[in-house]
Order: sequence, then structure tokens, then C-alpha cells
Amino acid sequence: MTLPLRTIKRTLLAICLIALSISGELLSAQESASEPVTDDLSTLTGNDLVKVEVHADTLRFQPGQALTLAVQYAIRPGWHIYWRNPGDNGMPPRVSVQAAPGVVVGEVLYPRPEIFQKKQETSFGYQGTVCLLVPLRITQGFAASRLDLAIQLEWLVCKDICLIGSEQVSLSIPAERPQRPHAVDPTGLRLVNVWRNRMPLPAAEARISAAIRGDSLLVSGPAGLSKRVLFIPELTPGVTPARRAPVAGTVIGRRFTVEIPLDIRPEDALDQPLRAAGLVLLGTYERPRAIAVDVPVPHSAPDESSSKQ
Amino acid sequence: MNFKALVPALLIAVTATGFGMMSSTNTALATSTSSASAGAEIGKAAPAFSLMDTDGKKVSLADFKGKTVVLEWFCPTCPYSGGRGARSIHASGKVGALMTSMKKADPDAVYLLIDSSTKKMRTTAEKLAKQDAALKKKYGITAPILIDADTGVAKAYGAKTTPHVFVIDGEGILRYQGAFDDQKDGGTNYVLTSVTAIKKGEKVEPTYVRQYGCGVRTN
Repeated sequence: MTLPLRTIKRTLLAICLIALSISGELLSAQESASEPVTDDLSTLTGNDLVKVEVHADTLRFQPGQALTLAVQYAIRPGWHIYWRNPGDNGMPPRVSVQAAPGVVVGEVLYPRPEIFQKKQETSFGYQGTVCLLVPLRITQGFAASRLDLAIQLEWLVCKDICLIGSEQVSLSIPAERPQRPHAVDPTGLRLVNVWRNRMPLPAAEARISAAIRGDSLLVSGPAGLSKRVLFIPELTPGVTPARRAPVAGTVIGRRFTVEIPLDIRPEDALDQPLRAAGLVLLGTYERPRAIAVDVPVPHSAPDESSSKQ
Repeated sequence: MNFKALVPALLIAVTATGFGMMSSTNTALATSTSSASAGAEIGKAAPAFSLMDTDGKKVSLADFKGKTVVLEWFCPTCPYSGGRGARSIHASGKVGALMTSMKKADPDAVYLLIDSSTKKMRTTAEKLAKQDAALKKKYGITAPILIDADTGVAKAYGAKTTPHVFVIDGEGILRYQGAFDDQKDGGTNYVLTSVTAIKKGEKVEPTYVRQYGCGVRTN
């Protein structure tokens, strides 16, 4: 059976167009790879590349209340900032909240990061928009009529080059008025709720078990529908993965196992207790399941495998 | 032969080839079994090197046998290294202060800067040397800046950031690598503590603190 000439011509045209667009992609990739980094560094700053806003999830406070700040970073496309453990290079964002006595400032919460992996280096961080959350608790005895917060922010934003940005933000939240309903900040509340869902779950809540066996961290648990599991480490002085992160585990049926050999050096612990900690990543960045693991490392870990032999 | 059936197959084949070529430049998640600490190792001989400094003079590690040598990886644009701003360890005077303290702790200790930024900044060794020479003058940097033109020395040492420091004792053994300091006001400078311990014949602790700063690109 022979094709009409018109069909052949149309097919050939389609093939040529596809080939041209592919070669165009490759060419532009090559071109951007070979352009010198000329950038007018004299004017560009980290503040130009990242817009930061701070929102509280409440418009008014009352003593004894817990509230949450959402620190939102809107990052210019192509650039990224870093996770709490930046990886091989980079710097985590600094968030420092100063408040009057009677206000307890919790640890900054980081959502599941993306993995940026190049041939020789791996880093963890965020692109697009990301929120870090800061939990606060106002003690019962806090008597001031306003909750004044001074928030100092600093971040490293990178692409080929890196730049530092910084911002100082002040929030002043008035006390609740008597016999009035609790006033929420809808923007802040929405941000807090959205990003709270992207925070890693504690291992116990996710029915994950984690233990030190010999010189390894062994983590296992339900994989759900995930076919792939990865582990990325937190920064734990004196304890580092002996294998380049991310460490891949195995999924068999509905369960995963990941074994992370550790390099344990108590002399590098900086007087902190030895811990093996990190995130087990299941799902995808868009539909994430991340589980936080944190276990103490015995100073001289028993070698269970040899004792079983 | 059924040409009509071949056409879609041909289209798919061409498209797949194109995507295959593009995705070869995207990195699949590599979960290598190689050691996370590839590069120079604590307690082992530091890799030898021979590089030109910004004055065109050849400088080798072997030139300093018997002396403690500090290597600091440097980049002229990194805000933690040679770039502008309060976080730059050079612009802020931290390195100058360190060198004064180091001289008291060990007058014979040597401090060298290594710049492996040719690939990162897509520039030539000559242009980089010129740029670094200007920064030497601007910040009053007294240590030589060595140009690692093909980034081979960065690879050999496993230098990951600017700054990333390596402290090598007089026998050529690596005793500390990682962060320049703990980044706290009045905090700990790990170069100074390491140089002091080596001079006193004491154990260097810590031997590694996670490096911070901008990435060193070696490919």
C-alpha cells in the first residue's frame, strides 16, 4: 500500500520540526553553559532574587495561646535557597525571632526539600515559593497588650553564583479584646495550614522504625504506594553518612527498608550527643511523604551482625 | 510494506531519540556507593599539588615540607569568601585577624588560598588571576592565591565550598578539613585551633566540621 504524496510530505515536515526543536533545546543549553558569568554583581543582591514576607496565623493573641509564623520566600526562577542541611555546599536560611520574656520561640520548621544533584555535588533546598514555619507559645503570665516580634532573616540564594539577602521584619500583634471571637489572619492561617502539610512526619506517627545496627542506621516501614525511597541526612556533628546522599532504599511489596552506613567520629561531635537523623522521602515533591528520623548513636555501637554469626 | 504503520513508529523513534539526548544532560538521582568523604582524608597524606599564583610564581605543597600548611578555597564573587559584604571572611577582616593569631601560635605556618573558579565563572585562568590580584590589593590579602586552572586540585582534595579549609601538618598529613569557623561572634576558628594543636603536638579536635559557603564546581 503506498501513501499519498501529501501524507509523506506532512510526515517529513513533522519529523523535521521535531528534530529542529530538539536541536534548538540542546543548542541553547550548550550556549547558556558556555556564556561567561558576567552578571552585574555590583547591583544584584539576594533581596532582588527573593521576596520575603512574614505572616502570623492570628490577628490577635491571648495569654496561653500557641501561634505560628509563616516566613514565605518567593524565589526567582532558576535560583534556589537551602534546607536546614544544605548538602555539599550552601547555607541554611537564618530566621531569628526576638520577643519579650513570656514568649517561647520554637525551632524553625522546614518542609520537605528538593534534591539538587549534579555530577560531583548534591545539595538540598527549595525553588519557587517555600514557607518556613516558626511556632510560638505565649505563656499564661504574659501581660503586655501587644506582642512585638523582631524577626531577622538572612538567606543564601544561588544559581551559578550565590548572593546573600537579608531583611528585618517587625510584627506587632494586639491582645484579644474581651468577649470577642478569636481573630485569625486568613492569609497567615492559609499559609500555615498549607505548609504544615508539607512538614515531615515524626517517625512514630508514620509507624516507621529506626535503629542503629553496628555502624549503620536501619529504617523500615510502610511504603504506601511509593516505589522508591530515599534518605537525606540532617546535620549531626560526629555522625555522617558514609555513602553519598541521597541513599536509596528498597521497596518490596508495601514495605521499604533503607540502610545508611555511618561514619561515626565522636571527636567531631562538638560536645553534642551523637545522633543519626534525617528524612525518609517517599512519594514525590508535589505529593510528598517525608518522615523525620532521629535516633541516638551509642558511643561504641555494638556489632549485632557479628554477634549473630 | 505497510508505510502507514511505519510513520507513527518513525515519529516516536525520532522524538524518543531527542528526549534521550536531552535527558542525558539531566541527572538521574545518583545514589553512588562511593564514600561520602571522597577527596583528601584525615590522617592520610594530603594530595601533592603545584600551581601558579597570581604573580606567575609556581607554588608546590612540597615547598613547605616540615611546616604546617593551611589551604583555603577561595572565590572572588562568593559572599562568604572573596565577595563583598559582612559575611565575607576576607572583607570582614576575619582572615587577617586569623593570620595575626596564627603567627603567634606557629610563626612557621603557611597560609595559601586556592581558586578553582574557572569552570564556575566560565573564565580563563589568566582573567581569574587578574581578578584575584585586584582583590588581594583591595582586602590586603598577604597569602598567595593559587590558580587551580583545571580544578584538578579541588577534585583531589574534595573541596566543596568557598571557603573550605584544609590543615596539613609538617609531615604532609591532613589533620583538619571543613569549616573556617563556627560563624559566631567571638566563636571558634577551627583553623587556629588546629594549627595550635599541631604546634603543641596535641590531638586536633574536631577533625571535621561541615563546610559552608558557595559551591566549588569541578565539571
